[in-house]
Amino acid sequence: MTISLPRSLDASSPSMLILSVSLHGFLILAIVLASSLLPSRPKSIEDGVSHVKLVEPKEGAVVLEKVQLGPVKTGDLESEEPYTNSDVQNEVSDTQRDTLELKVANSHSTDVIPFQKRKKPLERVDALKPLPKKNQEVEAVKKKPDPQEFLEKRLASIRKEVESRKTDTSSSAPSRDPATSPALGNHGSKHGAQSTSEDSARWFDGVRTRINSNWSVFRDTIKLERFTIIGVKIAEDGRLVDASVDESSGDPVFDRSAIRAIFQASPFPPMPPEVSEKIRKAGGLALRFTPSGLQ
Amino acid sequence: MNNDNILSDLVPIRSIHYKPHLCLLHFPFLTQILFGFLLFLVLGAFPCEGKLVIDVENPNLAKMPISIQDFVADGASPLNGSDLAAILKNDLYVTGLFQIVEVHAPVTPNSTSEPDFEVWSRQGIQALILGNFHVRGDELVLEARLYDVPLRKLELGKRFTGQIGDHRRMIHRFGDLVMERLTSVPGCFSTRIAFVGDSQSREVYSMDFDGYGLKQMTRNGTINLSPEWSPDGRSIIFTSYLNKNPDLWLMDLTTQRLFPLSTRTGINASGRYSPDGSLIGLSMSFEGIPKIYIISTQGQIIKRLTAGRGNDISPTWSPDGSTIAYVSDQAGSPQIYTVPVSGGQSRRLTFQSNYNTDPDWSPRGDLLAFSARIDGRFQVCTIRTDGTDFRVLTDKGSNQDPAWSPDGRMMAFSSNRDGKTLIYIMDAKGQIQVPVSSLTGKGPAWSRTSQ
Repeated sequence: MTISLPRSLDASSPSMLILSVSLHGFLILAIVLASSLLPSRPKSIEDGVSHVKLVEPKEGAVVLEKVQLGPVKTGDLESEEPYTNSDVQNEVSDTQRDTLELKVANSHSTDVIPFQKRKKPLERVDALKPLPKKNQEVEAVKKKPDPQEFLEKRLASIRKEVESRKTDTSSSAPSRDPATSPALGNHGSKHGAQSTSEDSARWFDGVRTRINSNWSVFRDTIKLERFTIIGVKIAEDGRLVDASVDESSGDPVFDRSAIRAIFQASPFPPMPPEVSEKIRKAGGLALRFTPSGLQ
Repeated sequence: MNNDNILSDLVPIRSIHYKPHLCLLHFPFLTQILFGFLLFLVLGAFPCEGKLVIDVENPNLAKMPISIQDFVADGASPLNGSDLAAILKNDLYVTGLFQIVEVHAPVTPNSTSEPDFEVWSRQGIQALILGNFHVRGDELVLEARLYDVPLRKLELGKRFTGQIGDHRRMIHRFGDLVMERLTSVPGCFSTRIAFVGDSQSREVYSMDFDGYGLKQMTRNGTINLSPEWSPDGRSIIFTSYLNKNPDLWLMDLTTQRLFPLSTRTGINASGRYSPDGSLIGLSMSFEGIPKIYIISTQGQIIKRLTAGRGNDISPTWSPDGSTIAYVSDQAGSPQIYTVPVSGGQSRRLTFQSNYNTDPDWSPRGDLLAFSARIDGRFQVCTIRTDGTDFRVLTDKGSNQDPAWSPDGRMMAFSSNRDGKTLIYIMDAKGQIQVPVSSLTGKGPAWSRTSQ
């Protein structure tokens, strides 16, 4: 009847507590490691850019809607002859309907990135500086009340990282380039990295400038704090493959102005290999549009 | 036995339930799995790596290049396709938001073929409007389509059916929808402007916002002043000397019958509907000097809003109905003040000129338009409702009585810049100013509803 247990194996005994805590710790550590490694495993990489397909503004598909031209009140002093036929037809010929469907710019593709993937934080490309090779994750883009403030914060953190990277590259360079002698390798590989960084910086800056010069908004509806993030897929030859809204500003007209700018700016200059490598590693390329520069 | 039983009951609970091996497996594992699952979710939502982002921060404020091609007639028609396109071109032009590019189609588009986007794209066109129509007897079927050239897709397609005489309305209606599609705010091209003729008998007229479709609304042979549309568009109110006293009258537009709203001794002037149409603010002087009152739509006085020594005239409601701006000379010269409708202290808004009058509160709520005397002539100005950002929008001749369009993008006003006093319209920045009335007129009022 009585269950007799050694006192030392009781759940509340110090030895069991230590065991439990250490087991917890071990498993948590394992899970943290596993989950941090998992998303970096590229799942849908094509052409060096991961394909992001997201909710598309439904505005695209246009079918003739019904217009209710209300019948004019009879006897209204204002009115001319009332419409004899207040029913407005909305049938579209089948041929037209076909063409409409064909004209939808961003037709849905089959591979859709899972929800978590889309929520990924974004790295900011600072094209004017050589891009850090890895560990360039910056704070997640979260909707903050003041985008100016958070952009500045991010810029500062990037600068800090770039500073630390400078020493980093020189120290890690020899291991990356085993063919050269340690003494020369240090210098040589550093130089090489810099020139490719300049290449990619030039490419990113070119893309930015092109799109910016093609982007127009209406003066009377500007809200400076608004922003939209458009995921783009650019082929190695600079051709625009796809552009779709990653994070909407909430205003479809503003989102569309951004997509329109990207379409108008394409094709882009051919992509240097290290750029496509960089984009592939990061898991995609996105453009954040905000009219904050108008301030 | 008994003793044993009692003893076993007294054994601490933990030593009964936890056997050593269960203790290792059971307790930590379940919680660990749960905890691990939670952690995985959190990390999955915020992984360590993310997309590269390029920031684009400097949009152009250039006007959108838009091309409107002549509408194509299917068969013989009394209407001209280029005239139809011209209506739409004018609508979009006066908003000040578009650059109308006159490019002729490389291939005549017909109702079914889609445009060659490459050609339009090369011309820098962002939006393209094509249309076609056919007339059968008295009936007109008109179809118009808006294309997004960079995105190479049809944005909007509409077909209208009606009488030939309605063709302007159809085009205006399509223009309203184009504005909604391109700017998220519907256009106001289907609205009308009422004004007072500036001849010996000052009758009230109304016209389309672009000056067409002129109609005489009153035929009473006396002086009529300061018309105002009811928010539902079913009636107008105006001040008239019909009974030898400046009384406030209402005209039902359906029956064309007149009803007296306020016939109190002295002036009953510049009646203005509250945004919800339930109240009317006006200036009355039956107690001596003109003060701002609020009356019901039946004419009963709800309250007096202003007190003091000044002459208070020309009320205008804020779009939320909480505040009224008006003109008072309590400080010596006519200036614009605001007062809460619920009662309270009035606040002076304008200091820029020694004569400010005719305020009209923008439907967007952020601006007040008014006329200010500058160098001896009146100019239409705007000011923010906090009294900052004073802008003079006109400079030629004398310009008065601004009235906002319902979308807050345009204003109607009277100007004598070319000799005769005509009704003009302009965009909210004053970049485009065009005369629209064919008659001389004053005191425009822009309807709140589409016809």
